[in-house]
Amino acid sequence: MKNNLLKIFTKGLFIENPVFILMLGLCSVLAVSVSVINALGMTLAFTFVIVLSELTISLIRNWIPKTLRIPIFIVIIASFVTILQFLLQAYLPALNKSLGIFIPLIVVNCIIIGRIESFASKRPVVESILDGLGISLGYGIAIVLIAVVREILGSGSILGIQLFGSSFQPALMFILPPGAFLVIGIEIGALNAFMKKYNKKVCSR
Amino acid sequence: MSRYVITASPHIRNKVNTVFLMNTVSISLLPAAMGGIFIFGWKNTLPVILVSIVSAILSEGLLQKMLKMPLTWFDGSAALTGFLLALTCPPGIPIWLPVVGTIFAIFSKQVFGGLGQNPFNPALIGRAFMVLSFPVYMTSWMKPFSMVTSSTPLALYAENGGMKSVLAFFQGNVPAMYKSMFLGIRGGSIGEVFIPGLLLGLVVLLLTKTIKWQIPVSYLGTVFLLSWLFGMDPVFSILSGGVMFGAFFMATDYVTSPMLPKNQLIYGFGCGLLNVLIRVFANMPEGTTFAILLMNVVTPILDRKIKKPVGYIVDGAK
Repeated sequence: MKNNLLKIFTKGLFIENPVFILMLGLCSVLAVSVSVINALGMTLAFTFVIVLSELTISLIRNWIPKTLRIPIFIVIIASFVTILQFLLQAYLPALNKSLGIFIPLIVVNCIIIGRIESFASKRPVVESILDGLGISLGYGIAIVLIAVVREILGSGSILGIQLFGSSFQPALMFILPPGAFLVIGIEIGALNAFMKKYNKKVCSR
Repeated sequence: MSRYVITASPHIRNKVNTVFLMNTVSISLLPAAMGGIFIFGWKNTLPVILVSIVSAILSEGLLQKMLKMPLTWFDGSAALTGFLLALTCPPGIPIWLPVVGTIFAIFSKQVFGGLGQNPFNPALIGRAFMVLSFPVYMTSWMKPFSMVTSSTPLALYAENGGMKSVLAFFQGNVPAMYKSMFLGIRGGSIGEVFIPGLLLGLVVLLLTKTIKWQIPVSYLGTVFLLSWLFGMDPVFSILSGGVMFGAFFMATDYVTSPMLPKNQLIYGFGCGLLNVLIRVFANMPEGTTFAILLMNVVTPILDRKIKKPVGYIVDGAK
Protein backbone atom coordinates (compact mmCIF):
# COMPACT_ATOMS: atom_id res chain seq x y z
CA MET A 1 0.00 0.00 0.00
CA LYS A 2 2.70 2.42 1.05
CA ASN A 3 4.79 1.37 -1.91
CA ASN A 4 1.86 2.03 -4.19
CA LEU A 5 1.38 5.56 -2.81
CA LEU A 6 5.07 6.28 -3.28
CA LYS A 7 4.80 5.08 -6.86
CA ILE A 8 1.88 7.43 -7.52
CA PHE A 9 3.98 10.30 -6.22
CA THR A 10 7.21 9.52 -8.04
CA LYS A 11 5.79 8.68 -11.46
CA GLY A 12 5.12 12.35 -12.09
CA LEU A 13 8.82 13.12 -11.74
CA PHE A 14 10.22 11.17 -14.68
CA ILE A 15 8.16 8.33 -16.10
CA GLU A 16 5.12 10.54 -16.61
CA ASN A 17 6.75 13.93 -16.40
CA PRO A 18 4.03 16.24 -17.72
CA VAL A 19 6.41 18.43 -19.72
CA PHE A 20 9.25 16.23 -20.90
CA ILE A 21 7.39 12.96 -21.47
CA LEU A 22 3.67 13.76 -21.87
CA MET A 23 4.46 17.15 -23.46
CA LEU A 24 1.33 18.77 -22.11
CA GLY A 25 0.81 22.40 -21.13
CA LEU A 26 3.83 23.51 -23.14
CA CYS A 27 2.43 26.96 -23.88
CA SER A 28 2.88 28.31 -20.38
CA VAL A 29 6.12 26.39 -19.90
CA LEU A 30 7.69 28.00 -22.97
CA ALA A 31 6.40 31.46 -22.16
CA VAL A 32 7.19 31.61 -18.45
CA SER A 33 10.62 29.94 -18.40
CA VAL A 34 12.40 33.20 -19.22
CA SER A 35 13.76 33.46 -15.68
CA VAL A 36 14.10 31.04 -12.79
CA ILE A 37 12.03 33.26 -10.48
CA ASN A 38 9.12 33.23 -12.89
CA ALA A 39 9.46 29.47 -13.26
CA LEU A 40 9.34 28.95 -9.50
CA GLY A 41 6.34 31.27 -9.18
CA MET A 42 4.52 29.44 -11.94
CA THR A 43 5.25 26.12 -10.25
CA LEU A 44 3.78 27.36 -6.97
CA ALA A 45 0.65 28.65 -8.70
CA PHE A 46 0.33 25.41 -10.63
CA THR A 47 0.76 23.29 -7.48
CA PHE A 48 -1.91 25.29 -5.66
CA VAL A 49 -4.45 24.80 -8.42
CA ILE A 50 -3.77 21.16 -9.32
CA VAL A 51 -3.65 19.85 -5.75
CA LEU A 52 -6.81 21.62 -4.61
CA SER A 53 -8.72 20.75 -7.80
CA GLU A 54 -7.72 17.10 -7.64
CA LEU A 55 -8.69 17.03 -3.95
CA THR A 56 -12.12 18.56 -4.60
CA ILE A 57 -12.94 16.41 -7.59
CA SER A 58 -11.79 13.28 -5.86
CA LEU A 59 -14.16 14.13 -2.99
CA ILE A 60 -17.20 14.59 -5.20
CA ARG A 61 -16.25 12.06 -7.88
CA ASN A 62 -19.26 9.80 -7.19
CA TRP A 63 -21.77 12.62 -7.76
CA ILE A 64 -20.40 13.88 -11.08
CA PRO A 65 -22.58 12.77 -14.03
CA LYS A 66 -20.43 11.41 -16.80
CA THR A 67 -21.91 13.60 -19.52
CA LEU A 68 -21.34 16.82 -17.60
CA ARG A 69 -17.92 16.09 -16.20
CA ILE A 70 -15.81 18.45 -18.31
CA PRO A 71 -17.84 21.62 -17.49
CA ILE A 72 -17.79 20.66 -13.82
CA PHE A 73 -14.01 20.19 -13.90
CA ILE A 74 -13.54 23.54 -15.58
CA VAL A 75 -15.76 25.37 -13.08
CA ILE A 76 -13.84 23.89 -10.16
CA ILE A 77 -10.43 24.64 -11.68
CA ALA A 78 -11.55 28.15 -12.59
CA SER A 79 -12.70 28.80 -9.02
CA PHE A 80 -9.29 27.88 -7.65
CA VAL A 81 -7.53 29.94 -10.29
CA THR A 82 -9.68 32.93 -9.35
CA ILE A 83 -8.81 32.47 -5.66
CA LEU A 84 -5.15 32.14 -6.62
CA GLN A 85 -5.23 35.29 -8.67
CA PHE A 86 -6.81 37.31 -5.82
CA LEU A 87 -4.19 35.93 -3.41
CA LEU A 88 -1.35 36.82 -5.76
CA GLN A 89 -2.73 40.30 -6.36
CA ALA A 90 -2.95 40.85 -2.61
CA TYR A 91 0.32 39.37 -1.42
CA LEU A 92 2.69 38.95 -4.39
CA PRO A 93 1.73 41.69 -6.85
CA ALA A 94 5.16 41.64 -8.54
CA LEU A 95 4.91 37.93 -9.35
CA ASN A 96 1.34 38.40 -10.53
CA LYS A 97 2.51 41.10 -12.88
CA SER A 98 5.40 39.14 -14.33
CA LEU A 99 3.32 36.00 -14.90
CA GLY A 100 0.53 38.08 -16.39
CA ILE A 101 -1.94 36.26 -18.60
CA PHE A 102 -0.48 32.86 -17.77
CA ILE A 103 -2.17 32.78 -14.34
CA PRO A 104 -5.73 32.94 -15.76
CA LEU A 105 -4.65 30.52 -18.48
CA ILE A 106 -4.01 27.83 -15.85
CA VAL A 107 -7.75 27.18 -16.18
CA VAL A 108 -7.25 25.61 -19.57
CA ASN A 109 -3.90 23.98 -18.77
CA CYS A 110 -4.23 20.50 -20.22
CA ILE A 111 -2.01 18.91 -17.58
CA ILE A 112 -4.58 19.73 -14.90
CA ILE A 113 -7.60 18.65 -16.92
CA GLY A 114 -5.72 15.54 -18.00
CA ARG A 115 -4.83 14.49 -14.47
CA ILE A 116 -8.36 15.13 -13.25
CA GLU A 117 -9.93 13.22 -16.11
CA SER A 118 -7.60 10.26 -15.94
CA PHE A 119 -6.82 10.15 -12.24
CA ALA A 120 -8.67 12.27 -9.67
CA SER A 121 -12.14 11.53 -11.00
CA LYS A 122 -11.56 7.82 -10.38
CA ARG A 123 -9.31 7.57 -7.34
CA PRO A 124 -9.60 8.23 -3.58
CA VAL A 125 -8.54 11.52 -2.00
CA VAL A 126 -5.08 10.66 -0.64
CA GLU A 127 -3.93 9.19 -3.93
CA SER A 128 -5.24 12.21 -5.81
CA ILE A 129 -3.38 14.66 -3.60
CA LEU A 130 -0.17 12.65 -3.99
CA ASP A 131 -0.67 12.55 -7.75
CA GLY A 132 -1.15 16.32 -7.82
CA LEU A 133 1.98 16.89 -5.74
CA GLY A 134 4.06 14.50 -7.86
CA ILE A 135 2.89 16.00 -11.13
CA SER A 136 3.55 19.55 -9.94
CA LEU A 137 7.00 18.57 -8.72
CA GLY A 138 7.73 17.07 -12.13
CA TYR A 139 6.37 20.21 -13.76
CA GLY A 140 8.56 22.31 -11.47
CA ILE A 141 11.69 20.30 -12.25
CA ALA A 142 11.09 20.61 -15.97
CA ILE A 143 10.28 24.30 -16.04
CA VAL A 144 13.18 25.21 -13.75
CA LEU A 145 15.62 23.14 -15.84
CA ILE A 146 14.51 25.04 -18.92
CA ALA A 147 14.56 28.39 -17.13
CA VAL A 148 18.09 27.85 -15.74
CA VAL A 149 19.53 27.33 -19.21
CA ARG A 150 17.55 30.19 -20.73
CA GLU A 151 18.40 32.66 -17.97
CA ILE A 152 22.12 31.82 -17.93
CA LEU A 153 22.49 32.01 -21.71
CA GLY A 154 19.96 34.72 -22.38
CA SER A 155 20.55 37.14 -19.52
CA GLY A 156 23.85 35.92 -18.05
CA SER A 157 22.26 35.65 -14.62
CA ILE A 158 20.53 33.20 -12.34
CA LEU A 159 17.72 34.23 -9.96
CA GLY A 160 18.51 37.77 -11.03
CA ILE A 161 22.17 37.62 -9.87
CA GLN A 162 24.67 38.42 -12.62
CA LEU A 163 27.08 35.51 -13.06
CA PHE A 164 29.61 36.97 -15.44
CA GLY A 165 31.44 40.24 -15.80
CA SER A 166 30.10 43.10 -17.86
CA SER A 167 32.12 41.91 -20.87
CA PHE A 168 29.86 38.86 -21.23
CA GLN A 169 27.35 39.23 -24.05
CA PRO A 170 24.20 37.24 -23.38
CA ALA A 171 22.62 35.58 -26.43
CA LEU A 172 19.26 37.35 -26.45
CA MET A 173 17.69 34.64 -28.56
CA PHE A 174 17.40 32.41 -25.51
CA ILE A 175 14.93 34.73 -23.81
CA LEU A 176 12.92 35.00 -27.04
CA PRO A 177 10.43 32.31 -28.16
CA PRO A 178 12.85 30.48 -30.52
CA GLY A 179 15.24 29.96 -27.64
CA ALA A 180 12.46 28.37 -25.59
CA PHE A 181 11.73 25.82 -28.29
CA LEU A 182 15.41 25.14 -28.81
CA VAL A 183 16.11 24.55 -25.11
CA ILE A 184 13.07 22.35 -24.52
CA GLY A 185 13.89 20.28 -27.60
CA ILE A 186 17.48 19.72 -26.56
CA GLU A 187 16.49 18.88 -23.00
CA ILE A 188 13.87 16.35 -24.14
CA GLY A 189 16.48 14.81 -26.44
CA ALA A 190 19.03 14.65 -23.64
CA LEU A 191 16.48 13.10 -21.26
CA ASN A 192 15.53 10.47 -23.84
CA ALA A 193 19.17 9.61 -24.47
CA PHE A 194 19.72 9.35 -20.73
CA MET A 195 16.69 7.12 -20.25
CA LYS A 196 17.70 4.88 -23.13
CA LYS A 197 21.07 4.35 -21.57
CA TYR A 198 20.21 3.87 -17.93
CA ASN A 199 16.66 2.62 -17.83
CA LYS A 200 15.89 -0.12 -20.30
CA LYS A 201 12.62 -0.76 -18.49
CA VAL A 202 11.28 2.68 -19.28
CA CYS A 203 12.30 2.36 -22.89
CA SER A 204 10.67 -0.99 -23.49
CA ARG A 205 7.22 0.36 -22.60
CA MET B 1 4.85 -14.05 -63.47
CA SER B 2 8.07 -12.24 -63.72
CA ARG B 3 9.68 -10.17 -61.04
CA TYR B 4 11.33 -6.89 -61.74
CA VAL B 5 14.38 -5.93 -59.80
CA ILE B 6 14.59 -2.22 -59.25
CA THR B 7 17.68 -0.60 -57.87
CA ALA B 8 17.68 2.76 -56.21
CA SER B 9 19.36 5.70 -57.86
CA PRO B 10 22.10 6.82 -58.57
CA HIS B 11 22.79 4.58 -61.52
CA ILE B 12 25.45 6.59 -63.30
CA ARG B 13 28.12 8.59 -61.56
CA ASN B 14 30.26 11.35 -62.93
CA LYS B 15 33.08 13.33 -61.47
CA VAL B 16 30.79 15.92 -59.90
CA ASN B 17 30.64 15.20 -56.19
CA THR B 18 30.10 17.13 -52.99
CA VAL B 19 33.67 18.33 -52.76
CA PHE B 20 33.64 19.59 -56.35
CA LEU B 21 30.30 21.39 -55.95
CA MET B 22 31.16 22.98 -52.64
CA ASN B 23 34.52 24.18 -53.92
CA THR B 24 32.91 25.60 -57.06
CA VAL B 25 30.52 27.65 -54.94
CA SER B 26 33.36 28.75 -52.66
CA ILE B 27 35.46 29.85 -55.62
CA SER B 28 32.56 31.75 -57.16
CA LEU B 29 32.20 33.62 -53.88
CA LEU B 30 35.79 34.86 -54.07
CA PRO B 31 35.21 37.95 -56.30
CA ALA B 32 32.49 39.29 -54.02
CA ALA B 33 34.61 38.53 -50.96
CA MET B 34 37.63 40.30 -52.44
CA GLY B 35 35.45 43.29 -53.27
CA GLY B 36 34.27 43.43 -49.66
CA ILE B 37 37.82 43.11 -48.35
CA PHE B 38 38.93 45.96 -50.60
CA ILE B 39 35.99 48.20 -49.69
CA PHE B 40 36.02 47.75 -45.92
CA GLY B 41 39.74 47.13 -45.43
CA TRP B 42 41.37 43.77 -44.78
CA LYS B 43 41.69 44.39 -41.05
CA ASN B 44 37.92 44.48 -40.62
CA THR B 45 37.05 41.64 -42.93
CA LEU B 46 39.80 39.07 -43.40
CA PRO B 47 39.93 37.90 -39.76
CA VAL B 48 36.14 37.47 -39.73
CA ILE B 49 36.23 35.33 -42.88
CA LEU B 50 39.19 33.18 -41.82
CA VAL B 51 37.99 32.64 -38.26
CA SER B 52 34.54 31.76 -39.54
CA ILE B 53 35.81 29.15 -42.00
CA VAL B 54 38.19 27.55 -39.50
CA SER B 55 35.62 27.43 -36.72
CA ALA B 56 32.99 25.96 -39.07
CA ILE B 57 35.34 23.14 -40.07
CA LEU B 58 36.41 22.48 -36.49
CA SER B 59 32.90 22.49 -35.10
CA GLU B 60 31.74 20.13 -37.84
CA GLY B 61 34.54 17.71 -36.95
CA LEU B 62 33.88 17.98 -33.23
CA LEU B 63 30.11 17.56 -33.55
CA GLN B 64 30.45 14.59 -35.88
CA LYS B 65 32.85 12.99 -33.46
CA MET B 66 30.50 13.64 -30.53
CA LEU B 67 27.42 12.36 -32.38
CA LYS B 68 29.43 9.37 -33.71
CA MET B 69 28.71 10.26 -37.34
CA PRO B 70 31.06 9.63 -40.27
CA LEU B 71 33.66 12.39 -40.36
CA THR B 72 33.13 14.61 -43.41
CA TRP B 73 34.58 17.83 -42.09
CA PHE B 74 36.89 18.32 -45.07
CA ASP B 75 34.30 17.85 -47.84
CA GLY B 76 34.09 21.60 -48.27
CA SER B 77 30.52 21.98 -47.06
CA ALA B 78 31.49 23.18 -43.59
CA ALA B 79 34.06 25.54 -45.06
CA LEU B 80 31.40 26.88 -47.44
CA THR B 81 28.98 27.40 -44.55
CA GLY B 82 31.64 29.34 -42.67
CA PHE B 83 32.54 31.38 -45.74
CA LEU B 84 28.89 32.23 -46.50
CA LEU B 85 28.21 33.15 -42.89
CA ALA B 86 31.22 35.44 -42.72
CA LEU B 87 30.15 37.22 -45.90
CA THR B 88 26.74 38.01 -44.39
CA CYS B 89 28.30 39.62 -41.31
CA PRO B 90 28.90 43.35 -41.00
CA PRO B 91 32.60 44.24 -41.26
CA GLY B 92 34.50 44.82 -38.04
CA ILE B 93 32.41 42.60 -35.75
CA PRO B 94 34.18 41.06 -32.74
CA ILE B 95 35.96 37.83 -33.65
CA TRP B 96 34.05 35.63 -31.18
CA LEU B 97 30.77 36.40 -32.93
CA PRO B 98 31.33 34.34 -36.11
CA VAL B 99 32.69 31.54 -33.92
CA VAL B 100 29.42 31.36 -31.98
CA GLY B 101 27.44 31.75 -35.20
CA THR B 102 29.22 28.94 -37.06
CA ILE B 103 28.97 26.57 -34.10
CA PHE B 104 25.23 27.17 -34.08
CA ALA B 105 25.02 26.87 -37.87
CA ILE B 106 26.83 23.52 -37.96
CA PHE B 107 24.79 22.32 -34.99
CA SER B 108 21.58 23.13 -36.85
CA LYS B 109 22.78 20.93 -39.70
CA GLN B 110 24.13 18.00 -37.72
CA VAL B 111 21.18 17.78 -35.36
CA PHE B 112 18.94 16.82 -38.29
CA GLY B 113 21.39 14.21 -39.55
CA GLY B 114 24.08 16.11 -41.40
CA LEU B 115 24.47 17.41 -44.94
CA GLY B 116 21.47 16.47 -47.06
CA GLN B 117 19.09 16.14 -44.13
CA ASN B 118 19.07 19.74 -42.92
CA PRO B 119 15.77 21.53 -43.54
CA PHE B 120 17.36 24.97 -43.23
CA ASN B 121 20.33 26.60 -44.86
CA PRO B 122 22.96 26.33 -42.10
CA ALA B 123 24.68 29.62 -42.88
CA LEU B 124 21.37 31.48 -42.69
CA ILE B 125 20.43 29.77 -39.43
CA GLY B 126 23.77 30.93 -38.06
CA ARG B 127 23.07 34.44 -39.22
CA ALA B 128 19.51 34.43 -37.86
CA PHE B 129 20.87 33.29 -34.51
CA MET B 130 23.44 36.09 -34.50
CA VAL B 131 20.88 38.74 -35.48
CA LEU B 132 18.40 37.64 -32.82
CA SER B 133 21.01 37.17 -30.11
CA PHE B 134 23.43 40.01 -30.66
CA PRO B 135 21.44 42.67 -32.53
CA VAL B 136 23.75 45.50 -31.50
CA TYR B 137 26.79 44.01 -33.26
CA MET B 138 24.87 42.68 -36.22
CA THR B 139 23.34 46.04 -37.10
CA SER B 140 26.30 48.36 -36.70
CA TRP B 141 27.56 48.96 -40.19
CA MET B 142 30.71 50.56 -41.45
CA LYS B 143 31.20 53.32 -43.97
CA PRO B 144 33.33 52.20 -46.94
CA PHE B 145 37.03 53.08 -46.87
CA SER B 146 36.87 54.34 -43.27
CA MET B 147 36.34 53.15 -39.72
CA VAL B 148 33.26 55.33 -39.20
CA THR B 149 29.96 53.65 -38.53
CA SER B 150 27.11 54.47 -40.86
CA SER B 151 23.74 53.03 -41.70
CA THR B 152 22.86 51.01 -44.75
CA PRO B 153 20.70 52.47 -47.52
CA LEU B 154 17.91 50.10 -46.50
CA ALA B 155 18.11 51.25 -42.88
CA LEU B 156 17.76 54.82 -44.14
CA TYR B 157 14.72 53.72 -46.10
CA ALA B 158 13.14 51.89 -43.16
CA GLU B 159 13.86 54.33 -40.36
CA ASN B 160 13.66 57.77 -41.87
CA GLY B 161 10.78 57.41 -44.26
CA GLY B 162 11.27 56.02 -47.68
CA MET B 163 13.15 56.86 -50.85
CA LYS B 164 13.36 60.55 -49.99
CA SER B 165 15.90 60.04 -47.24
CA VAL B 166 17.89 57.58 -49.37
CA LEU B 167 18.05 60.14 -52.17
CA ALA B 168 18.98 62.87 -49.71
CA PHE B 169 21.88 60.69 -48.57
CA PHE B 170 23.15 60.62 -52.16
CA GLN B 171 22.43 64.38 -52.62
CA GLY B 172 19.41 63.67 -54.79
CA ASN B 173 21.58 62.35 -57.60
CA VAL B 174 19.92 59.16 -58.90
CA PRO B 175 22.64 57.98 -61.35
CA ALA B 176 25.27 58.57 -58.65
CA MET B 177 23.20 56.50 -56.26
CA TYR B 178 22.93 53.62 -58.73
CA LYS B 179 26.63 53.80 -59.45
CA SER B 180 27.80 53.73 -55.87
CA MET B 181 25.28 51.04 -54.94
CA PHE B 182 26.41 48.93 -57.90
CA LEU B 183 30.08 49.30 -57.03
CA GLY B 184 29.40 48.62 -53.36
CA ILE B 185 30.30 52.03 -51.98
CA ARG B 186 27.72 51.75 -49.22
CA GLY B 187 27.24 50.31 -45.76
CA GLY B 188 26.45 46.61 -45.69
CA SER B 189 27.64 43.09 -45.04
CA ILE B 190 31.10 42.03 -46.18
CA GLY B 191 29.98 39.92 -49.13
CA GLU B 192 26.82 41.64 -50.26
CA VAL B 193 28.06 45.08 -51.32
CA PHE B 194 30.27 44.39 -54.35
CA ILE B 195 27.65 43.68 -57.01
CA PRO B 196 30.06 43.08 -59.98
CA GLY B 197 31.74 40.36 -57.93
CA LEU B 198 28.39 38.76 -57.17
CA LEU B 199 27.45 38.83 -60.86
CA LEU B 200 30.79 37.26 -61.80
CA GLY B 201 30.12 34.56 -59.23
CA LEU B 202 26.68 33.96 -60.73
CA VAL B 203 28.20 33.58 -64.19
CA VAL B 204 30.68 31.02 -62.87
CA LEU B 205 27.89 29.09 -61.14
CA LEU B 206 25.71 29.09 -64.27
CA LEU B 207 28.54 28.16 -66.65
CA THR B 208 29.67 25.25 -64.49
CA LYS B 209 25.98 24.23 -64.25
CA THR B 210 26.27 24.31 -60.49
CA ILE B 211 22.94 26.12 -60.23
CA LYS B 212 20.08 26.75 -62.65
CA TRP B 213 18.78 30.18 -63.56
CA GLN B 214 15.27 29.69 -62.18
CA ILE B 215 15.72 30.66 -58.53
CA PRO B 216 17.88 33.79 -58.97
CA VAL B 217 15.75 35.11 -61.84
CA SER B 218 12.36 34.56 -60.22
CA TYR B 219 13.65 35.84 -56.86
CA LEU B 220 15.13 39.06 -58.25
CA GLY B 221 12.26 39.54 -60.70
CA THR B 222 9.70 39.32 -57.89
CA VAL B 223 11.65 41.75 -55.75
CA PHE B 224 11.94 44.14 -58.68
CA LEU B 225 8.24 44.10 -59.56
CA LEU B 226 6.88 44.11 -56.02
CA SER B 227 9.15 46.92 -54.82
CA TRP B 228 7.97 48.93 -57.80
CA LEU B 229 4.34 48.21 -56.81
CA PHE B 230 5.02 49.31 -53.23
CA GLY B 231 6.59 52.57 -54.36
CA MET B 232 10.24 51.68 -53.87
CA ASP B 233 12.77 52.41 -56.58
CA PRO B 234 13.03 48.90 -58.12
CA VAL B 235 16.66 49.21 -59.20
CA PHE B 236 17.60 50.50 -55.76
CA SER B 237 15.67 47.60 -54.29
CA ILE B 238 17.60 44.83 -56.00
CA LEU B 239 20.96 46.58 -55.57
CA SER B 240 20.47 47.15 -51.83
CA GLY B 241 20.72 44.78 -48.93
CA GLY B 242 21.50 41.12 -49.35
CA VAL B 243 18.95 40.30 -52.05
CA MET B 244 21.51 39.50 -54.76
CA PHE B 245 23.77 37.61 -52.39
CA GLY B 246 20.80 35.66 -51.09
CA ALA B 247 19.35 34.96 -54.52
CA PHE B 248 22.65 33.71 -55.97
CA PHE B 249 24.27 31.86 -53.11
CA MET B 250 21.79 31.24 -50.29
CA ALA B 251 18.46 30.44 -51.96
CA THR B 252 20.15 28.10 -54.44
CA ASP B 253 21.53 25.77 -51.79
CA TYR B 254 20.87 22.22 -53.07
CA VAL B 255 19.64 20.70 -49.87
CA THR B 256 17.12 23.36 -48.97
CA SER B 257 15.70 24.39 -52.36
CA PRO B 258 13.27 22.46 -54.59
CA MET B 259 14.48 20.22 -57.39
CA LEU B 260 12.03 20.71 -60.27
CA PRO B 261 12.45 23.87 -62.40
CA LYS B 262 8.77 24.81 -62.01
CA ASN B 263 8.99 24.51 -58.24
CA GLN B 264 12.17 26.53 -58.26
CA LEU B 265 10.28 29.35 -59.93
CA ILE B 266 7.58 29.20 -57.22
CA TYR B 267 10.27 29.05 -54.54
CA GLY B 268 12.07 32.09 -55.93
CA PHE B 269 8.79 33.97 -56.15
CA GLY B 270 8.04 33.13 -52.50
CA CYS B 271 11.47 34.32 -51.39
CA GLY B 272 11.04 37.59 -53.26
CA LEU B 273 7.51 38.15 -51.96
CA LEU B 274 8.46 37.57 -48.32
CA ASN B 275 11.60 39.64 -48.74
CA VAL B 276 9.71 42.68 -50.00
CA LEU B 277 6.93 42.25 -47.43
CA ILE B 278 9.48 42.20 -44.60
CA ARG B 279 11.26 45.23 -46.03
CA VAL B 280 8.10 47.28 -46.50
CA PHE B 281 5.90 46.26 -43.60
CA ALA B 282 8.03 44.65 -40.85
CA ASN B 283 10.16 46.57 -38.41
CA MET B 284 13.38 45.23 -39.91
CA PRO B 285 15.19 47.02 -42.71
CA GLU B 286 16.20 43.82 -44.50
CA GLY B 287 14.46 40.48 -44.76
CA THR B 288 16.56 38.24 -47.01
CA THR B 289 17.64 35.92 -44.19
CA PHE B 290 14.17 35.29 -42.89
CA ALA B 291 12.51 35.19 -46.32
CA ILE B 292 14.82 32.39 -47.50
CA LEU B 293 14.56 30.52 -44.20
CA LEU B 294 10.76 30.62 -44.37
CA MET B 295 10.79 29.33 -47.94
CA ASN B 296 13.18 26.55 -46.88
CA VAL B 297 10.28 25.26 -44.79
CA VAL B 298 8.07 25.12 -47.90
CA THR B 299 10.65 23.21 -49.98
CA PRO B 300 9.60 19.69 -48.91
CA ILE B 301 5.96 20.50 -49.74
CA LEU B 302 6.95 21.73 -53.21
CA ASP B 303 9.15 18.69 -53.75
CA ARG B 304 6.33 16.34 -52.83
CA LYS B 305 4.79 17.05 -56.22
CA ILE B 306 7.68 15.32 -57.98
CA LYS B 307 6.46 12.09 -59.56
CA LYS B 308 8.56 9.11 -58.69
CA PRO B 309 10.58 7.87 -61.70
CA VAL B 310 10.17 4.69 -63.75
CA GLY B 311 9.76 1.33 -62.15
CA TYR B 312 6.76 -0.31 -60.57
CA ILE B 313 6.47 -3.88 -59.36
CA VAL B 314 4.00 -5.81 -61.50
CA ASP B 315 1.07 -7.48 -59.74
CA GLY B 316 1.62 -11.06 -58.78
CA ALA B 317 5.33 -10.70 -58.16
CA LYS B 318 6.58 -12.45 -55.09
